[in-house]
Amino acid sequence: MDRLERLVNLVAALIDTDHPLTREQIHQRIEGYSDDPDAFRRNFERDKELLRQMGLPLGTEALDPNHPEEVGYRIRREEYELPDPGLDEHELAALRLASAAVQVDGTWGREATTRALRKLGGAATAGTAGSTTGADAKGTGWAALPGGDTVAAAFGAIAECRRVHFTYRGEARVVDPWRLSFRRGQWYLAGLDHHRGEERLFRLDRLEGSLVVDGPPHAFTRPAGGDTTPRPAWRLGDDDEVMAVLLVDADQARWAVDALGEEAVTERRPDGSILFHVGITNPGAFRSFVLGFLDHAEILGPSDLRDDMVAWLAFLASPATDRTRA
Amino acid sequence: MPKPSAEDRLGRLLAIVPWVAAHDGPEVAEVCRRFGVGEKELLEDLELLFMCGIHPFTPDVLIDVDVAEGRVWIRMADYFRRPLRLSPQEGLALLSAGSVLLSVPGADADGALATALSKLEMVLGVGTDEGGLEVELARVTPTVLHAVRQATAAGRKIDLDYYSFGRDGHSTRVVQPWRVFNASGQWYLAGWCELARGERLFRVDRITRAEITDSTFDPPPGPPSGATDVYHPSPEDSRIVLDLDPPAHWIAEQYPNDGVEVRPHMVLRVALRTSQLAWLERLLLRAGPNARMVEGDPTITTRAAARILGRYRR
Repeated sequence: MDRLERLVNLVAALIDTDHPLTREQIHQRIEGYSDDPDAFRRNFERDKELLRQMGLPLGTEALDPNHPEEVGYRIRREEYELPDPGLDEHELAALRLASAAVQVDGTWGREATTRALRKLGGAATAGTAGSTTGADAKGTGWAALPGGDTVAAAFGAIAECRRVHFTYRGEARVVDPWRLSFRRGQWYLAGLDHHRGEERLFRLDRLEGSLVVDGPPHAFTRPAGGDTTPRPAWRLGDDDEVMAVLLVDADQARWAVDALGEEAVTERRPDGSILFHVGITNPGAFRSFVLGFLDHAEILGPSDLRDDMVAWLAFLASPATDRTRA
Repeated sequence: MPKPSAEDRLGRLLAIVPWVAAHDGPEVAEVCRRFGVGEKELLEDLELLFMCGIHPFTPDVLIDVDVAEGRVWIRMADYFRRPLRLSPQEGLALLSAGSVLLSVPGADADGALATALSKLEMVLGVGTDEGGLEVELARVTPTVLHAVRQATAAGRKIDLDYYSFGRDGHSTRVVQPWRVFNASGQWYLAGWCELARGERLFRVDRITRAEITDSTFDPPPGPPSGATDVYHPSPEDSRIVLDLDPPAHWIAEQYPNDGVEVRPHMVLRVALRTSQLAWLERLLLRAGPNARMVEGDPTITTRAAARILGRYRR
């Protein structure tokens, strides 16, 4: 008998039952297993592993609380079944177009979207959604996002509201994962850091080791809203906030607006240069940001901040042989 | 073609059965197209399904499959009434692909893709009201992105004003656009630059003006190189060796280099190659006293610092 036939029968039996099935029951009730107990045991182990690898929620339950070593198996419908999202044909086609256009990297990207679309009922034809997405399908695969198992594990934990553990900046963290965001080329996880007792943002590529999902689902409720934007470097310090006044020349002003935000703009001058007011708590990081504009930007105030920049530059402008190490 | 594994076939069947059962005798060809499977393969799997069911495998508990006149019916498979839920990988891959497309300037925020994503978020349990997933691409001027994409699609040369970050200079150039793409959030234009007479990669956010011209061009000789890295160190570039104190160790971590050597007193000695003066100036100015030049022209730092200082002292 074809292994596929046996697997279909096994899944049907495990879903159809309202109580866990013992190994003996599975051996008797499912066609396709060998009569030899050792062969059955081996094949059943292989089948179990395959089903779990495919993501089937094959649960192991104790049959009798007094004999926890005797276990049975079943697949609970509520854990197996995909609720119907109610997608119409246009929506399916739009998703198909998106998955053709955007390559998610990592060990699972392309196959994962194919499997997902199949579960959702495929999609008749791509292309009908082109006009609604504002994107032409020409040159498929024109966008690539990094992916990876850590990002997927974090996403799964958010969906199920399960607590996660990982090491970050040398510290073991216990986190209620709330939101996942992709910004500036990086994936970030926002959530409640239990040791710090407050919301924190973690860059997922900086996790040391792996992200471990444990504990039961529905362990917490995600708060509404919240900000997933990583704080800029000049706001990551412990110093008292200082309001920096920065002038950026016309030809670089647009990139400064992108970085500082429209809300930081206080004056647009006739020559095209822009004046910004920026609250900073990390002056060193702000200096680095301003130096990125080379001589196309200038800190106008406050005077302490400006003097610090002048001192930094004066030190660097002196010949290296005259410098004494700080 | 290799025969699909039992895992692949099972995954496909568990998706096909509920769909066919929910539709009143769809055409076999339609099922094949939807699920990306050949007709012969599909019929083989359906034939096998016909023998499946639950204990005691009497006709009344076997899955009922009918194939007639190019249509297919599946009944008696209540345990397979719904497909298997999406794994985290599958949910994330689909949602993030959709979110990328939706954040392209000009995408319809109320269109089919947007409604599809919010429906998916609901069933995946990551509805955006209480959290979930956000994808943000680098900001570009929508008219510029639109122009370079249109020129690429139409095979027209494009006239650009471009700011070179590595050289800190503006230039006007005509480019034969081959491909516009987004990598890790950043938009790029790849093509033949007539000014540089070579294949070049441009960051779309640094294009300050883009005009589609009337002239056409021959398509690229081969497939594009696919490079997504604007910075290509080359052996002809000048070599700089720096000693870095801990506050400047990020330089060794963030930039491609020719090797890092660990020295006493937590110093890292790193060798970099670049032809891009402005890029190097920024790096040296930011690192300040935490980077000391062991090999290279030390006046790069002093001259750049003096130039900026001139602005503060005028």
